[in-house]
Amino acid sequence: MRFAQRRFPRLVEPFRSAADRFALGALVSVCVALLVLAKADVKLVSYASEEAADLALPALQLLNQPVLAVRGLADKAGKLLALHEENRRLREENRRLLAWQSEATRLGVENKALREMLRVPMVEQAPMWTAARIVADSGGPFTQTRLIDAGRNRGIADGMAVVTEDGLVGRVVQTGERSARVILLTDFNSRIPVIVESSRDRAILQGDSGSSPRLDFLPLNPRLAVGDRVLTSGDGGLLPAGLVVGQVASVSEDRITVAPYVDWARLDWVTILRADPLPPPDEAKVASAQQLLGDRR
Amino acid sequence: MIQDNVIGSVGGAFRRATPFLTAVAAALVDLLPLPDAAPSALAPLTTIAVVFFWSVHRPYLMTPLAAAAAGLLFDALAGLPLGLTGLALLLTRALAATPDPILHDRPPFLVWGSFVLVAAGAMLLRWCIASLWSMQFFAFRPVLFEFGLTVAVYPLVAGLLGRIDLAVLGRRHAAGG
Repeated sequence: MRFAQRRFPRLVEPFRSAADRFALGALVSVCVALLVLAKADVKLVSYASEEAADLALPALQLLNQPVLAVRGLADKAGKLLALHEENRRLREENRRLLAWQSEATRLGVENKALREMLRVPMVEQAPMWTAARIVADSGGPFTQTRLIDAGRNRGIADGMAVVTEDGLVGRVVQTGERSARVILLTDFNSRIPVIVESSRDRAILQGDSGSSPRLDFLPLNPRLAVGDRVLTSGDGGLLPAGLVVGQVASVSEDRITVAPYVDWARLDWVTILRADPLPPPDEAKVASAQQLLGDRR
Repeated sequence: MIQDNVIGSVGGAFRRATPFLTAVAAALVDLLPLPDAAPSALAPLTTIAVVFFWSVHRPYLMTPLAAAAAGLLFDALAGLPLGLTGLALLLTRALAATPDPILHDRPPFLVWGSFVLVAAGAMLLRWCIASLWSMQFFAFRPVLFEFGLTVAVYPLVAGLLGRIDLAVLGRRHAAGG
């Protein structure tokens, strides 16, 4: 073709234009077909998306290095300026965590003593969380998702909650072998069952592609107020109960919005809460423990 | 002799793939997480700018297949419905690539003006398809911001790609176009 084009450009041109038009038409049809299949939630389309994310992961991690370097420099500069305040905050947090550590140790000792008393064996539990880094941002005005560099190879599965130290970020919606996609709670497809801590009103937190998702399906005459904390309710088994989401930001007749606690500006590392099921109890040992308790009464 | 032919063929194939590779690189850069950004922060869609540039200056290297492939890759990595950005890039390519190169070697502001129109069409198409697919109207303001940012960065993108075209493919362009 190139030889023919060099020697006979005017003869080749019409064929090239026709081939171009044909290719354009065919590719438009392919794209429309893919859109229809994606809407029908065909597994092949999801699989293609997962594989593409896995393949692109090394390139994204490499390209992230300059971004992380810039962020690191900005963080260092910020910390230098706020050194005194940061030091005070860390001392306070350390004091609080030491108190919790002491309580956790006491509870562990009590748990062990009770198990020995009831002759219930210690159960080896798998780690309950995995940390991962965000490597891609969907960006744009249509979706709010993030790609993380952990997948099935690290025990991630669809539906797991994703959190930071501040609160809930979202949940895993697509898992590949080495990467996973997280839908943020601000995405318009995100619907999370929540509960308002003070009034115990249950609702659905619905994202709308903005920065303040709204509360839907509240009961009639809700008793919430601006500033009330919102937590996950655990309804439907979608997410664990008790995860901090945010606080009520505004209340009006037709719309109640929530300001998430997550610091989106510092969304770099996230934690994925794994919901590994505990192993079923040994029936014989449960019967033995029940008999022992019956004897003691 | 055979080795030289193989190396020449590989080099030639790499040069011919340059427009597609730069479109893929632009897609990856578009998806990088912005430092210190809110969840709904917007960035320019440089992939459209790259496809437009090569469609104007190297239409036979930025083929419809290359444009569609770059768009599908973007959709797969961004978690968008497959085909959304693919269709937008196919439209960009169709509008920008003509058998008779109208825009090639024209003043930069003319090319930039053409890009404004083409990008507006492509982003409007993207918004329409996304709204139709999701059965809801997305806010148009973020799309306008994204369009504004994309148009603003086009001269930088075109300047960079012009240098790549000169270095790899051996053609000089009017600055910024």
